[in-house]
Amino acid sequence: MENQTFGAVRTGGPAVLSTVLHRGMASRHLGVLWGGFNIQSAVNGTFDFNLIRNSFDQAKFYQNGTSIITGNASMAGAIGLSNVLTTSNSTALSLYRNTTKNTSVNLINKTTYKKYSQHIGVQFTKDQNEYSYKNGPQIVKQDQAEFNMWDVNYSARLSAFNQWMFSWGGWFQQADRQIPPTKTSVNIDQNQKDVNYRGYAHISYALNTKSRLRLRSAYFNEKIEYTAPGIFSLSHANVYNSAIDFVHDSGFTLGSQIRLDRVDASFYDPKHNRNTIAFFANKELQIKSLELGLSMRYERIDGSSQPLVMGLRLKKELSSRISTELRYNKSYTLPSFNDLYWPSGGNPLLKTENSHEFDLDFAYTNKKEGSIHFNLFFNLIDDWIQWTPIEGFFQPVNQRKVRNIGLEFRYTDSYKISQNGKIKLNLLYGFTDSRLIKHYYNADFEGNRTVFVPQHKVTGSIAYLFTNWRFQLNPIYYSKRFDTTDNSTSVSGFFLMDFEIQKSIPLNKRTLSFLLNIENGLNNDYENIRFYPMPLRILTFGIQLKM
Amino acid sequence: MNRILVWASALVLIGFTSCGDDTPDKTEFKDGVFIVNQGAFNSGTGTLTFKERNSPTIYQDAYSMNNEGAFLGNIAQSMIEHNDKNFIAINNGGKIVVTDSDDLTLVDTISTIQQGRYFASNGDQLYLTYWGDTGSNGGICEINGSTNSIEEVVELGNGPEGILFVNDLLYVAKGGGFSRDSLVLIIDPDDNSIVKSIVVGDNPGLLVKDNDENVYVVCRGHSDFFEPANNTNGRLVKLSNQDIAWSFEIPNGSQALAIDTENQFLYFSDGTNVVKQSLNATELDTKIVKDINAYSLGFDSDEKHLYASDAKDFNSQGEVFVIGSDDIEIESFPAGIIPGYFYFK
Repeated sequence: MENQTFGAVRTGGPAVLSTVLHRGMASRHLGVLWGGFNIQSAVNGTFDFNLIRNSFDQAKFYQNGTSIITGNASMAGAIGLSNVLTTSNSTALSLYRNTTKNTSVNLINKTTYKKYSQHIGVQFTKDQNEYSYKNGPQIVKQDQAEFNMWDVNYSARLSAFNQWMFSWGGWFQQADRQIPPTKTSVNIDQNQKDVNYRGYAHISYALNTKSRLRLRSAYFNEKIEYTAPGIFSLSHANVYNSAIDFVHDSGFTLGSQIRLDRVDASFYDPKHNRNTIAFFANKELQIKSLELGLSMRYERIDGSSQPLVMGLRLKKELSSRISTELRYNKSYTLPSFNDLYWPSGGNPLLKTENSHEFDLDFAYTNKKEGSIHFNLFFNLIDDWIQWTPIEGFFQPVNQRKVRNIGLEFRYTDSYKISQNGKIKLNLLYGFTDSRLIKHYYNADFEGNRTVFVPQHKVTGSIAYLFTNWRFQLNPIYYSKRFDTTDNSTSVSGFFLMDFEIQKSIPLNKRTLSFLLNIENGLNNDYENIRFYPMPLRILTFGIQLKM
Repeated sequence: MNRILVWASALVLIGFTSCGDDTPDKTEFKDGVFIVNQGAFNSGTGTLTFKERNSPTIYQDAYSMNNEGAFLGNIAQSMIEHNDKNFIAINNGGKIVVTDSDDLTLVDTISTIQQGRYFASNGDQLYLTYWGDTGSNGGICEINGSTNSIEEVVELGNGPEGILFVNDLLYVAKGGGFSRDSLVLIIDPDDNSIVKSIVVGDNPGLLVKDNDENVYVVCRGHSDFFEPANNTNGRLVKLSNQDIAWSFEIPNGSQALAIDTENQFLYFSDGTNVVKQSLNATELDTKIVKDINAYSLGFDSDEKHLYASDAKDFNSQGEVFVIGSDDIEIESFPAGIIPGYFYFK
């Protein structure tokens, strides 16, 4: 996913919390959608991307604020996880093993029977994560990052009686991990266990040929258990979602959503709830060659009105190949339950974070597979929440105003270079100038760059496809990132190159594929977060039978 | 051809310069103050700042500078000079870094103690308080300053903090670790037996002594994060002849402690300001010295200057303020992230 997006991954390495920062915003600002609803943790406001494995077909990256869809916590966009329900049957069984003693088995089955389609993905992962890293002149072995996980996801669709469409799904995850020490700390026995049960059901009823009524519901049951010497903490969140909307093909949507968050954590007393009711509307208009979109979302949370969420979209086709789009979003993000209720510092007086996001996109399509996207963005976030020491104790406060400005450039193309060979290119460059323009407590920090956000990120993939062979390079470059508020220290930039070779062998109606993947192929010593060791070169061998 | 010559000349020059003895002389840190900077929580590294006396010269990250970029480890807590070596407690790094006392060159590492806190030396024996891996299985350990090894461990329970040699006995404040405690223990270092326990106040921290071997301890007070109504105030306590001479209530969250034995003042941070209190007072009579909630304090008895650190937002360079005996600020200078301890040399 990292090679396909502008989001900057912030990770401490295998088994350590991995989050994504986009357009200078924090991980809590990037929604993660499944079943049409946001599955970010209500407890800590973030999502650990270690828990997304390849039992899904696709992860779609929404670059712009999506608060119109999700309400709270999608100011920086969202990542939508979904499966493609096809009209053909197939099963793929894959086995992967790598040099860090990680093993995973993955089964994906797609079945269609008349008007019923389903996707089942099952993955078992046993990651020993035994890898080497450089610590000064020494090569050190990391062997305290074991990560084991079961992941089962199922989604299905049934079209019945012409007017009715049903879709539903379930997702079960259980992950056990050791949390490894950093380069500067001693190993203590830290473990985390995640157990998630999620389900959704959608019903769509066609009122006529142009309009339909949709009812969507979802339930998430999420547990995180953390243990360390002398520490045991357990958080248990139950989230209930239900939405109903009327959709007309002319581009009109009107709907309402209810969301109930119930959090029971061993470190809170008592349990805490959050009740949300939302009303939303969207209208798309075509005025000659101009597309106009207007959206609005109003939410009341625990009886209090929240800042109005608004969206404006203007799109114009300048020619058959060139289009431009201007977008504006006004969004907000609520404090997490930990921000509000953490026993040593939780601040129930926190205000919501507010944002204004502007985005100007130019797209050029040269042929079927070639395109250039050039995107300028500007966003402002007021009342940014930050944990900070107040009178000797860390507590979250509305601390700052942040301004992000940048551009994103994407070039995709493919070149046929022989009868059976072609090159596919996908290159991305993101520039982000993220600055703290107002600090409510210490003006000395104003003008400084925000932490962890790289000013430059270059990534992409270059693939050479020849008959049944695929050779691919995945470069990644991050420029240096500051990790202190006063910008006195930083994590060095790094360049990585991953290599991938795949050979597919057709066997009647089956295909057998062999894969060799080399992560960090140049064997570079680097850090994503200061003093968190990252692996040197890793080789992964894979075999897949598709039938 | 010319281009080849230029490249060849350049290579020869590089070769010659590389062949020379390029080991730089190491800076010595002999007359000044070390500021032990804890470093960012979780994954940062501690650093040492050294400020020379009577000089504007400051060395940031002095340890790394003289050890080829090596880092101390997560949360550098405190340091002491003993047996011509420096011993630096690396709390979350689970080790004691032993260096040359003059130039900080790494001599050894002791890696068997978790969450080391503060040292005490009588010139002959060296002790360290530690919290253990849970904060409740802490104790003191005796370190052999010649072999750089742990000689003996005495388990004491919740979070031992300040430690001090007083009249050939050891005074240890039981700070509570992650919970609650209120004792100062008096230990006989000959057999490491507990001679006496004194209840001083909730969560005692650092200890200092005056010229008459009276001991002063600052107690932070208890903070109940689940039920703030259970919070208790801190205490400032004087111990004489193994008993409480006086005990004053001070605000919850009071921390840091330094003593000016000549002018007979104690300095501590009351959670809002650095204040001073007369050693011989009969009641609490504090006077504001500096309007910061100092994270650490130290008193340079050579120059009669108080050093107070401001950890700011705990995620940027801290600042150290130097205050004269007339309570006038003399200077300030930057330190590393979270300046948490002063050691005068």
